[in-house]
Amino acid sequence: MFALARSPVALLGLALVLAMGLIALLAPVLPLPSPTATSILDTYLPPSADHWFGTDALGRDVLARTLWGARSSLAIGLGIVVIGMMLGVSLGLAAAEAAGSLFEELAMRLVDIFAAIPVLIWAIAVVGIVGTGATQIGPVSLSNEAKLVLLVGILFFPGIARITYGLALAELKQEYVDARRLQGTGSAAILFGDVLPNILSPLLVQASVLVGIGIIIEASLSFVGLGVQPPMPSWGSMLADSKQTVFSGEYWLSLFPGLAIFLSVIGFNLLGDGLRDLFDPRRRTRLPKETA
Amino acid sequence: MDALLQIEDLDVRFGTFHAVRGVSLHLARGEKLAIIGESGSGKSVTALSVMRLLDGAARTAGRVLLQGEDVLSLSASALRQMRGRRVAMVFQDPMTSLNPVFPVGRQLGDVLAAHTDLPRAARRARAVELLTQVGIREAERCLTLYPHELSGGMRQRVMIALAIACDPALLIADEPTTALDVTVQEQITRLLVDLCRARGIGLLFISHNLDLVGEFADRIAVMHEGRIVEMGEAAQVMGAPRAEYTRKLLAAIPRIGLPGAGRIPDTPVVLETRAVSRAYPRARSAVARLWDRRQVQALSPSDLRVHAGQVLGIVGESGSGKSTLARLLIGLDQPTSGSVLLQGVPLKPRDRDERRALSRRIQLVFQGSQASLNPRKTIRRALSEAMQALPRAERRSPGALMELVRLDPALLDRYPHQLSGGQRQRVGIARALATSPDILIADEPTSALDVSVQKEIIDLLQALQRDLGMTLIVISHDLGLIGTICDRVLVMRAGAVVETGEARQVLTHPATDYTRALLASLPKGLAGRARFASPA
Amino acid sequence: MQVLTRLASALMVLFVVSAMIFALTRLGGVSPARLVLGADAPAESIAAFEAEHGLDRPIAVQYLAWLRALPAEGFARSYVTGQSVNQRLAETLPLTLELVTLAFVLAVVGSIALGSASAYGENRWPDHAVRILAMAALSVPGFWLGLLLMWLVGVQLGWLPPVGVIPWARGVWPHLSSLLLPALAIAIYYIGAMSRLMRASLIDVLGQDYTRTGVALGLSARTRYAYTLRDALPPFVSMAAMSYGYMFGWAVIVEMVFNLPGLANALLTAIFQRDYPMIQAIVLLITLVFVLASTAADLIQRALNPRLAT
Repeated sequence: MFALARSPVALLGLALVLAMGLIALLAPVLPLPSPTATSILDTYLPPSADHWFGTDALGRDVLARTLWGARSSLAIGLGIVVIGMMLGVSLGLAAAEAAGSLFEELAMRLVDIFAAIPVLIWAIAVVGIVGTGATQIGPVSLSNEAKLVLLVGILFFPGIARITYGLALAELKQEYVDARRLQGTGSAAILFGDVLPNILSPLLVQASVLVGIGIIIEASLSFVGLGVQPPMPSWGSMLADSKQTVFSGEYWLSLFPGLAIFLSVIGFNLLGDGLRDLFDPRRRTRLPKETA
Repeated sequence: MDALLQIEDLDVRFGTFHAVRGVSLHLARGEKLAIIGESGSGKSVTALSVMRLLDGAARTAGRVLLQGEDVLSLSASALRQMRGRRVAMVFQDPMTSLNPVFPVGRQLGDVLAAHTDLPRAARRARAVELLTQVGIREAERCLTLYPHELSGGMRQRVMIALAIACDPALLIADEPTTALDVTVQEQITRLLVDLCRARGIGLLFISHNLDLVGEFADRIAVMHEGRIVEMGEAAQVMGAPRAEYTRKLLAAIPRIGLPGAGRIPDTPVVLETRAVSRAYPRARSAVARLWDRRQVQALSPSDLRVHAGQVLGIVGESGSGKSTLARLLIGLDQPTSGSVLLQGVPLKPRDRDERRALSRRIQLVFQGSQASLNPRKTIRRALSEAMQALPRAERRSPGALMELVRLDPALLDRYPHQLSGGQRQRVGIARALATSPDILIADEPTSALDVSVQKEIIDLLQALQRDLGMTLIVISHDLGLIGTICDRVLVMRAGAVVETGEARQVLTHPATDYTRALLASLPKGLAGRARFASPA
Repeated sequence: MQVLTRLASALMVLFVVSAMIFALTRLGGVSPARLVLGADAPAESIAAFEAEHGLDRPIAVQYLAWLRALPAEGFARSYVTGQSVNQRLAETLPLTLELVTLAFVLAVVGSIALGSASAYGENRWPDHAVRILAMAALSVPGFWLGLLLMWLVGVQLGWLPPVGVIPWARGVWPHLSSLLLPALAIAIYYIGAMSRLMRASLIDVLGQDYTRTGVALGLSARTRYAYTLRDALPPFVSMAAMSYGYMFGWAVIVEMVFNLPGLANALLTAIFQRDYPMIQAIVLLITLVFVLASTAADLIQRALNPRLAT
């Protein structure tokens, strides 16, 4: 983590991500008007000292709604990646260890099938079919947000599984892994104790970028009304509301939530880029090859 | 002096790294000059500076005069006309040096187009002629082939054809045979020397192998830490070296001398194989294997016997099956047929306990590249983990293991990348010895190391084998190495054992043509000059 | 042989995916009969409706029947509107195809230019500029950019029509110009992603031994650029082909922003009307394009790489 200080890009990304995280955590205790309180006397107020980001068609405070929007956005973006990573990393590692077996073949074909599913369309279709209300699966009741996290997380897993598989396959060919096997170390200990730590860096880079994509997907679904449900504020649905005002000029309705998405996504992208630069050995001073 | 190339006070830095420090040398028309050095000596950087091929990070000072013109101050277009036309270069690895997506004919044609006005048809004819000159028989067919469809030796021949396509006055060859097998190495060296002699091309030959260049070079320059420590006639440098460093290099060359006393073992057999073989399915995926049942035979049924306390050498070129055999001997892989017997009992660890029990009897030393140690674990951790199979009472301290391989225990808290290649390989040996095995297998233990370090590792292995009374199996492509330390030798080729016997017998009176060819292709230094004296 | 296996596996994927979406429409929601006939319809009419449309059969049988009808008759009729699904697709698909193709062209041309400028000016100002631009392009949500463009270029500057589509009949340029803003909104992410890949791929090739060989042999700058581009192309082509499939997803959102009567409109209407056969058809169609795109990516990759070709 100290290494981050060496990369200004990563640092900027980290700062943005932390800022968004703080806003999400602190939104309930900040001195803000309620994000859902309507006021028919205060509709479409432009930004002012009272309402820094102005108010919307129902007189709700756009600043409060934007800051509260960080909560669902980050929670869903991170949730998606956590699910995707858990599935993808375990399957990728297991398939690599079982190279040449029928299990590897089946696992990777499963990955192919899931990889052939266009995420956004399927998310729209599935939510569209099962509905945006809470869905009962056995004893568990899933809110629409939880459904989204699960669904998109599962659709994210093939990408992560493929990367993990490729990296682990290369790592398992290293001599030190054979040395561990000769010591009588079991597969699980080798995979999690030796292989995973060595391939974690590129996986983290990937995870960081995927959180950004997850945030955009959440916003897109909320934009078409299939994501976070009102009255809970979400950047995507705020943008959907703002669409009517493009011609009448209430720019603040689309500017601020859009900027919020942009800044959080670029935060995770910069963090990923910075990490990549730090981890990539080719980035370090290049000397001409010399062999003896 | 009719100087073709004159380097004056060349100095190259990369940031704080001072790669070349005041190198001066000259090369006359048609002369063959060799630059010798280990990794980091600055020999390749010197060669690349002549062509101005160093990347932007390099800061270069001094003068490089090619036919009287300073290369370092040429304009971009003059430089382009010089490269390939007046001076050309052959690189180490022909696989990565040829463009993988264009056929050979296209690559040759483009070079000719860059420097001549030949029409297309004439370029094609010239390409065929060039390929024939570098010893490619089916030159016409070769034009349509991609680099990956050629063998290593063929690729290097194509690379040479590209280099001589426009009749350069100077040819620079940077370790042109290092990536190749011994038998091919001899052919390629011979081709380069013959071509340069026939066409009066000056040759600057960069190598780490003194015995190789000793056979043909007119003069030899020895580089160490960016400086030329000695330069002179080949006979003088090889025969009566003046610099301490040259003497050290010469002493480090493994030469087949009087191999081990040839102890006739009356000790029992500890490890043997009975008609052991290994075949791999051609199809990688489990499903494709359902209909594609073709197999690749990596190892044909082979027998071998190792007696306790003996040193056995297994020698072979790439693809000979020697590494497959090593993996079978250690139980990392299971044979397709036949069996490996450890003191008469089939070696087939079924579970973790058996694997652990086995780890106390037989161990493996790897090539000693970066990858032989987990980059994220300290040396202390690597050595402690190696003892996990032992009961607590029997575990030694990591420090004691370090002392066993003559390493400073202060290095214990370092990470692998903070060690030199030689230190890393010593740690690798310590790790293998952690469980005090009776049998140690060393798979190419020196191939990732510099010549002078190779010698240290060999000496260490020999000393340990003697002191601990271990059985040692050394696997190598290097007949010189095998010849120095082994009691018995097993020669492998294309997945089969071709000859086996007492080291002295095999190396002095080989019974098969292949072993004879292997021995003949070993570079022999000044003693080998006779064969280069006239064109083949 | 490899081509055949690849096509077979693409077919396999389509089969599994269509089964999944079929199962979802039958198991996931409310019975279509209830949707059409209303919540308080008597049980007999529900049963009659289900029998009429074969909904009372086991789901596997329904799926096979649907699959069997597909090649000859295409998709069935919508229960909700009674309209032919084929007909509706024929009305809406062309516009979406045009839009995505235009976005694809923008992305490919833009990213080759930007990526080359960046790689050849590595660590100098063109590189820095392109990298910042690409990073921004990757992070901006396309539909928001669409809104901004609509406001700025369409409303404030009045250069291009802000919403809707101008038919071909009114001329080629008016038609294309009305699609330009939405196409840019779809393409923006891929311009970012693909120019970054182009840059990385070119820099990788420029650092290879064989590039150094080209320099050492004195090849002309033009020949070397042609070599380098050719060497760097396979991963780029592969990503471009994949992107074509992905862009359909973003097109759905962007069409909604710009009020375009394309596939998105049809899909979202179908979702709000719970028109399962329609949803099923559209999702399957887009998945088909997606699978075709990734199959093409794979095959082109093979064709471009002589080591995989034979």
